[in-house]
Amino acid sequence: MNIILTSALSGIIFMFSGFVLKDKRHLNLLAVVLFGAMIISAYFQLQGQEILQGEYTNMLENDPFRVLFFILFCFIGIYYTLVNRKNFTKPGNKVSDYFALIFISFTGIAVLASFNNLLLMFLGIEILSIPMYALAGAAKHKMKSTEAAVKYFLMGSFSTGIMLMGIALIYGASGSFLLDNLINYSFDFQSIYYLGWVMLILSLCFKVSVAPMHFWAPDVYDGTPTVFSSFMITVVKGASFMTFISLLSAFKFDSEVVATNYKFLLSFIIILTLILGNFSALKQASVKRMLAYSSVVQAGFMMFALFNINPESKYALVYYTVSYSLASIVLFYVLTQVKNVNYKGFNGLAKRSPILAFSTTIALLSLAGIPFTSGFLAKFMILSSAMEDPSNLILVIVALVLAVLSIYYYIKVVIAMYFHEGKNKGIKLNGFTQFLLILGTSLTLALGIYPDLLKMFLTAFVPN
Amino acid sequence: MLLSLLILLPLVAGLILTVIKNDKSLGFVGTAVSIYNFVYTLILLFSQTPVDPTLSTPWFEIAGVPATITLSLTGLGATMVLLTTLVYTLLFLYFYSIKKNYSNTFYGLLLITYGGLNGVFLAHDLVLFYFFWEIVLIPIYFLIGIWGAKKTRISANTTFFLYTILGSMLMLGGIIYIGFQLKPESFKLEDVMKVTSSFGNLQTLAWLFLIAFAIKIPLFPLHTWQPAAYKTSPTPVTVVLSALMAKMGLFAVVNWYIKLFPFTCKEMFDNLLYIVGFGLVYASLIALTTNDVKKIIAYSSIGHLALIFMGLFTQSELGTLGSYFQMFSHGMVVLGLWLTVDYMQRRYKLTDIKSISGLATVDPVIAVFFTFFCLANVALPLTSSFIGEFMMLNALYTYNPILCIIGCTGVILSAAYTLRLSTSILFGERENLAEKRKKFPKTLYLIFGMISIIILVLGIYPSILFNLLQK
Repeated sequence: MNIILTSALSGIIFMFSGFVLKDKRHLNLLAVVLFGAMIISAYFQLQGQEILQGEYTNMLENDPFRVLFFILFCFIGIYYTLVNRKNFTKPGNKVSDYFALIFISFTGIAVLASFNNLLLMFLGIEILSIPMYALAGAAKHKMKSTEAAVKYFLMGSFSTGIMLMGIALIYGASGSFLLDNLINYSFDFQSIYYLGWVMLILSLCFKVSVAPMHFWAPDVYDGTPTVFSSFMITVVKGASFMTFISLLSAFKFDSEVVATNYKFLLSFIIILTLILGNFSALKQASVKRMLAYSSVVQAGFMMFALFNINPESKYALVYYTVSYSLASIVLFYVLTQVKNVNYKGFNGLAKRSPILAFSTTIALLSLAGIPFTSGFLAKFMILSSAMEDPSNLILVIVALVLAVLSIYYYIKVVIAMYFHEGKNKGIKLNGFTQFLLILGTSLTLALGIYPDLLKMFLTAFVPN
Repeated sequence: MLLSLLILLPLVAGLILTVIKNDKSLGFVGTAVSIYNFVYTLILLFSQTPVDPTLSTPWFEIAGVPATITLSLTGLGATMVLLTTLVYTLLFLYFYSIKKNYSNTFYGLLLITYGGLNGVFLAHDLVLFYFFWEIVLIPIYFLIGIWGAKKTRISANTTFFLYTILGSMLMLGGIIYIGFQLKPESFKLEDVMKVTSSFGNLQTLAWLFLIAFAIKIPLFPLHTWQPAAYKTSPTPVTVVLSALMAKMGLFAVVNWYIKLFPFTCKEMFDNLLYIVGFGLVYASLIALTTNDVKKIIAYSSIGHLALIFMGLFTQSELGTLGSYFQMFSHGMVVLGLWLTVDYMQRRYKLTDIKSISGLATVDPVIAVFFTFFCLANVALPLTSSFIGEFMMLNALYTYNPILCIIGCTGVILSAAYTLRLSTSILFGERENLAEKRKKFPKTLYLIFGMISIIILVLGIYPSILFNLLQK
């Protein structure tokens, strides 16, 4: 309950902060402070000290895995805010409103980190999504931004409808919304029950943007102001995956057939995502659009964690989210700095802004999964969690071979930065930004060399 | 702990050199590091007091299977480390003597490759091995991309990078399968060997590893990236690629492939060796017809490496020992060839064999050295290549006479194209060469002389290396 309260309160504080704080630097500071408050409240929740302690008829649970995930989202949020601190004015001048929306979406994440009930999950997903629809259209004067907002909203509501239908069907079969009771469904309604699950899975596929429900993603990520697409593809996507994995851990296979079908559905989604995502990304002229497609591909990789849900695969998902977020925030920051988001805009960047080029390179190598960056171990862990089943070898091999394609479009940026001459102006970074970029890069490298750092960091929050 | 210095020292020095902003050339750091490592390796290998040649510490654990940092300086790996340190020492001394200053980033990236190569040869843990296997690639990618030949550097480089990454990805799939399906106690070589030998049919898995290694060596028909990459790279990088990185593939076959899949090997290899043998003849024929000097040496390399690969699978001690020996010897010979070619390129604008001729009258010293390395490439008796090739062909004959005939054809063809190369550059009417004789730098006598002496000594008294290999 702590985290829901603090994040909702933070959202409300920001709604009114615009009246008091006129300087946007103070707003950034306030955001960091509130993130800190959320982390502290989450810490107390893990210790078992809760405000408004109660049963809530089992609708909420205190799941350490998800609360830890929430803490990580807050840290990612801090890093995101600090790196982008000068970019929030780019879409428009209502910075306090943007922050309010971001913090309200964090309330959604907090709900998703505590739900034990399908209705509450639905509520969380909606609280998470609606601010995003608004943020997508933040740059009102830009056609693309408005288009993104409308597309996101229409498609989002559509998938919400599917989700509600799924929940209704499952309720019809089992007579309960509580995750633990779902397994006691009536066998007369078996087909309805499984249809409900398929609908739930598909609607969550929409939220995490994997095929066949990914068509909105490139347009929305491309059209949304870059600051906010950075938030969408890191925190929002990660939170959706957190929901996905904790929802599916309530999905018990009661027969061999169900297990086979589930595996088939998942393999189908993964293969389709990787093929469509990679081949579409290959042809893009704009780096931003390429990264949008690549985020679809990365989501395809994260789906591997869903084959066998156990502590290892959950940890793999956490690790993947952290590594992916670190790389993406850096890359999207660079996108806000270059004049032209096409590959040509990166020409000759290495000569003029070596630090920017270096951190971009490491971030790209991390996304590509090259050893010594955290991206490699993330892929390694997430693929290994699917390896319990020997027949998955083919799936893993296909995913890895398709990853070679992704390396091709990632290194096109490196080629532009290092091997081409360019007339683009150099980008001046101030000291603090340089420090933050180097911090992100060294975290990527440190996690790539010694992955247990993350585990050590997380265990610091858990009571003995 | 001492062993990790062999990897960490060049790695850290390389990273610092790469990042540092300094216009003054710091090439001497590279020279110092490589000389230090060379001497250090010699001490480790030949000291009377036995040094513990292994190191093992826990690293991280995924799904109950721990990866460890396990290094071991034994057998073929030790020889390869010796080759690496030797090649790098001579390479850096060569930079020093031709007075060509590359930027610090160049030296830094070369040193990172150095650390990675040592890592590959020392690692006795599958995950650690994969880490180093990949990290060698990244600096090489930037070296070719930034300093390569203007026209082809991006296309050739991208082909090279993606090709090798494709192999690595297949291997990664194999590693994941071994780790999380077969569930060894850890990723250490011995533990992995235990599980792979107790499972019967691992054909698919074996292929995944073999393709990755074959791309690196490179073996026909997976060699297509190699000639363009060799031609495009600046010559110091070509030296690293052909003298050392190709050995990485062969070493991986010896240290990982044959050890992990001993039973699968025997069944698969009869047909495969014919393909490799075909590749040997095919590459030699191309070398015979092409005019570009760098390409001739590149294809000649493909041929020699194919023969070494065939020697490894004769399943006799003679053949494998010959192959090991030849791996070291080929490294030295090819180093000599590339450095002399580099010298001729700088001084006399050598590009293809028609571009200059009659060099022997203008610069007899380089002519002598070049001829010597050419003869060593042909495996003339008294040179080290002769010992290795003789042993391998001998073993091939007992294994399968047809393969021996194919191998011999390759040797004959290698004589043909190498002599074609040297005669057309060194002899004949003087063409495109200035009358004025330039003085041959004294330090180069030392470097080329040292390479020649090593080749000769190993050709006359090969037991030095055999003792080391059998340690």
